[in-house]
Amino acid sequence: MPIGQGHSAYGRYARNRGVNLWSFLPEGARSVAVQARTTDKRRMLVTPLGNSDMMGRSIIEAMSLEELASGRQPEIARELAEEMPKGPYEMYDPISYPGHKWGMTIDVNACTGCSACVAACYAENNLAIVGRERVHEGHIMSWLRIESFVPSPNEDGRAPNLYIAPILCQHCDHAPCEPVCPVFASVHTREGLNAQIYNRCIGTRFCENNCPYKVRRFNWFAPEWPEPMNLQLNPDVTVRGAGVMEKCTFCIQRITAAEIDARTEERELKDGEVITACAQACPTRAITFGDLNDQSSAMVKRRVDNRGRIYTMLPELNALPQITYLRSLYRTTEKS
Amino acid sequence: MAAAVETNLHPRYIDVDRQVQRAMAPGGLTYWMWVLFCAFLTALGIGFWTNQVYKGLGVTGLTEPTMWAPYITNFVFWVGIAHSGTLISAILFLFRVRWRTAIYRCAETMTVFAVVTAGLFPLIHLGRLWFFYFVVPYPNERYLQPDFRSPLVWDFFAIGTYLTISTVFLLTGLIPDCANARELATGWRKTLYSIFSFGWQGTDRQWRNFQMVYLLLAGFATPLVLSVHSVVSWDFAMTQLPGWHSTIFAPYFVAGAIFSGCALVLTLIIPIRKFWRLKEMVTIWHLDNLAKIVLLTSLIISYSYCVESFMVWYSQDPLEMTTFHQRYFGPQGYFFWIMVTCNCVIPLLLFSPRVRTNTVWLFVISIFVNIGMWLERFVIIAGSLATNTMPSQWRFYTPHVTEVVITIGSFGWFLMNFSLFAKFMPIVSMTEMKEGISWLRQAVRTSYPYRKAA
Repeated sequence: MPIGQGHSAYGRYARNRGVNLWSFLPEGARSVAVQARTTDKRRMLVTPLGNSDMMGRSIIEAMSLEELASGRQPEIARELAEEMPKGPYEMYDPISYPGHKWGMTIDVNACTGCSACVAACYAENNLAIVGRERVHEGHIMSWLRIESFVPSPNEDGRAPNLYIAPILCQHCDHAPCEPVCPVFASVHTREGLNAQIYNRCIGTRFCENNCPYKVRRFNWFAPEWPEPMNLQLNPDVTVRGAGVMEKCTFCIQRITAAEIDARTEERELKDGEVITACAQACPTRAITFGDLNDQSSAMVKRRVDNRGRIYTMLPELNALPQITYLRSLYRTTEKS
Repeated sequence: MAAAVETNLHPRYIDVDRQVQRAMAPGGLTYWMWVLFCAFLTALGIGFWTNQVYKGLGVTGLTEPTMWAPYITNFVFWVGIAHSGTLISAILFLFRVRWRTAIYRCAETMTVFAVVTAGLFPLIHLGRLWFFYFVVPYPNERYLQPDFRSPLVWDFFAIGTYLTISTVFLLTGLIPDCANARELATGWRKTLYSIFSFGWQGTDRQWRNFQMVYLLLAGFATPLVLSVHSVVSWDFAMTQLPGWHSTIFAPYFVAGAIFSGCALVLTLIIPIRKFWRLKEMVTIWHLDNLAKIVLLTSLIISYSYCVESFMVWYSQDPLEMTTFHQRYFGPQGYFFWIMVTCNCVIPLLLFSPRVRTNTVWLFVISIFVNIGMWLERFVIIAGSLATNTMPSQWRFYTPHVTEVVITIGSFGWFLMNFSLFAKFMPIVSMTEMKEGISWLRQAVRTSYPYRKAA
């Protein structure tokens, strides 16, 4: 049973949110006998996640060390490779990105699910905190979420106990959200970002319908920043009003600031100069952000060094995500 | 036999004018109570809409994956309703189908007001209503145009075109009838009919031009029956959401549109012919023919459901398979089975001529068809969104009071407009009825219940 959660102090919004089981124990106790009984009280159990079954989809993948050593792909990837139509997928020539092209590599194996990236994203990008009741309604505003799936019962028992990975906007090259927007609020930038223009957005929400990763968030109400929470807003990022769609920007404010710095100093942007809030906050360095056009960047190197483990989410949709995941690893000998 | 008693088997030329003008007589207390009731529903809907605009879309039950559930369902439902009106007034005109004469005005009126109602829903569902004009291509200082790749922009043009053509078509057909009504009317009514008769004198040249314009408009309107709802269906088919991404959608939606539209014509015309005593104009024989269209399109719809499911099974696409499994057996699977009952099973009763010539049966069946067709769109839209590609983001839609009231309000708005128009304008075309009077006499006598009686 997890312990150490909940708040007893820490301001009017955090107080009495959650419970620390430790507080029930007598002073100095190491173990205690408990009796559980039902009460008639009902409490809302709120989770932002719906189904904990991955349904065999290529969302969070894992592979055994043997597979990695022998250079084999895991079963799900082999199946997908068989089913994928053999190109050509493209009607037009690919769009070239002459300057930077931003991308991300996420090592699922390194992710512990601590949610520091989620908290960092909230702080950096002025995300609205909606509270338990509205999360229950499905109005959560997180651009980045930690997804967790339990293995389905028919998996062979060697798979990990839990699949965990951070999921954010994949900044697809063929972004399904872009062509459906009637007003060009969802557009691709010249640096490969899938940008959202808040001023242009009229809130048709078609983009979220067509987003296969469901990472866009809609402002159901105008966000509120009661005193003194307004003081923690990041001045580099706008706050969004009611009725517009918002989403991960790859911390475009940090990219732009670094680019301006480089330009004023009349030099090229160096690798590692731009780091997104989530990558910065990750204690296990699971997230690496960088320029795909720079073959020496740490992000590209990480992909090359771990080429046996790379995969993209839901590749059969051919959305060409710019986030590449590295599969989680497990030992077969230990568990079977 | 009851049917024989209620129907004049020998309607005369003068009966047409008399009966239609009787229907146009000032409404009684019941009529105005009904209109007021509809207006009340409309006002309620407007009130809740205002609240939604003021507070934000969060007051509805829409949630993260089910971004579109009730409003777009209403939009597709009302656009679909419109289509049968154009089918009856334009396509059947071009094919010289005589039984359209008695019901086409009613169907066309229904078309115009259904499109007006449908056009409200893309606005109601917007997050920022006050910027709706961003979808309109207009010259602006930012040199920004709408994205013509987006099916929502196609929708804007499809609905705009449809509303324009069907309104002009309706008003054109009204010209000789308004001129007729103008002759008897007094006071402000005379002014009203004078305006809508556009200076009609009934000269030879005017008749010739009228016929030509009417024919041309019918020609313009005919392709719209197929194109508008195809465009609407592409709102879904052009996406890659499992359950939406399907090539069958255009013909499937068009058939569904005509199915639901003809059912609503039945729902509207049955009370009208009863309360405004138009049974000699709109005979059982007309309803019988309408019911046959409902039956035919019901069979097409049933076939479409089968093909849709078959294609999913045949493709063995795991994403589609899961969505369809959820559609049939998921937590909201009962919607699907109610829909199948209403759209595929209950209309089979229309195979029986006894049912087709019984107004009570027809009315009840038409209501079921409308419920079923509303649910069909709901199942496709809300159900597919709820069971999307990311299982962690699955969430089924539950309605809140706002969208329920707005949906009911839209019915109030439609019925209010329709009832007012039907009272103040000739709801049966006198001109065309008189043209086909001898033919009507013969057809009525040879149609089922009377033939049997004779």
